[in-house]
Amino acid sequence: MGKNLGWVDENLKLGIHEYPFNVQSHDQPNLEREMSRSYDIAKEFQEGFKRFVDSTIIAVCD
Amino acid sequence: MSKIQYIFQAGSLYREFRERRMRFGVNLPQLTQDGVSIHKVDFVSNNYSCLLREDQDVVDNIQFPYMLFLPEGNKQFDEVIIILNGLNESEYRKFFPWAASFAASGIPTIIFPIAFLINRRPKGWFIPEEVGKKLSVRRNLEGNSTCTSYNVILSERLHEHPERFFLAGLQTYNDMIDLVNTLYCGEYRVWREDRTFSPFTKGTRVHFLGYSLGGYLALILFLGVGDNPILSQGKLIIFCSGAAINSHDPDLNANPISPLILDRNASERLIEFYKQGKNFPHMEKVEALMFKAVFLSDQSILGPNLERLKKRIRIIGSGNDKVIP
Repeated sequence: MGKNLGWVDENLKLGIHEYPFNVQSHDQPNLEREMSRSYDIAKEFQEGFKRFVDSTIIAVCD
Repeated sequence: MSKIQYIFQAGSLYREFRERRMRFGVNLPQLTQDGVSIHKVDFVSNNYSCLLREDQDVVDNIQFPYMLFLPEGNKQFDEVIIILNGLNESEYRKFFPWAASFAASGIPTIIFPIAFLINRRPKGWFIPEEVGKKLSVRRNLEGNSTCTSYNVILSERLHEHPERFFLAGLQTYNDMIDLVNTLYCGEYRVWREDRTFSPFTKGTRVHFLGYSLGGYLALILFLGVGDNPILSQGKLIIFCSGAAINSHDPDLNANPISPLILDRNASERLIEFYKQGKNFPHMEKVEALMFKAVFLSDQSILGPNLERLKKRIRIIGSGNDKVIP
């Protein structure tokens, strides 16, 4: 995306594209359970989620 | 602005709101919890005439409800974030913590479904026996792989008519202009109990958070009408989106082959269709020009426009993203 758009402001460490705050890999054994619980942010992605929320709100309020 | 709030657990909010009970034209009382109130809002799209003839009769794609998250209270707001979803998105649930966090932090947020995704898809497409039959057909296509019950319907539709990808985007693009106009002009109204109220002031600033497919769409919208007064004060956040499909380095290209997005044959057909410059309806429109500039990385168009809009755009990526590297 950076190559096409020219820059990336923030590069986060998240999960799979489809569930960036819930699922680490398509191969994980509990994939469907994690997808069905995607209304909660998984513990390992909470830091990334905070940065995502911060980044969005700062951009909007800037 | 209020202090930033992070809603990590939105399960109780989600279960109470009951997404599956959302019906167009049927009142669903607002839900208030943890400083956020969620409203079901009905929308009628007047922009379906651009679709393939056989897609114009899908009523669920024309009139449907979406969600509005408001900070609790009765005040009027002068800005809103619109979240646009990804390709093959089936539910609102994963956006709940996103929208709830923004609303709890004082910024109203709309989650708006792109055409033929989330609840703009008829339930009749998902009868288990039919899905099973279609899955069997796609698994038997030569060279196909990554076929799942999650991606079979969209895979079949886009394999059959790749132009649907652009046309669904074009319909939503125009839906967005209508929605933004309503918000900006102060004509946006929502049901609360037995009457309507207007949560937004005239001149409301509309921002977009475009995730995956929604990021492409929001970017194309900004490239097209970003300087129009209705959008000129808005910001665009592009999240996990914006990779081209025609880079010489395949590792840099968008790749929708995924058990949750598209199977291999559908993905390859879709990408080849646009890469080879095949004709599609409405390809003479400025929206199609911008669409091609983004997906085919036409830097003569993209570069100067992005430079002009740079101060209003924030791009967030994920280092582990295999779909949008």
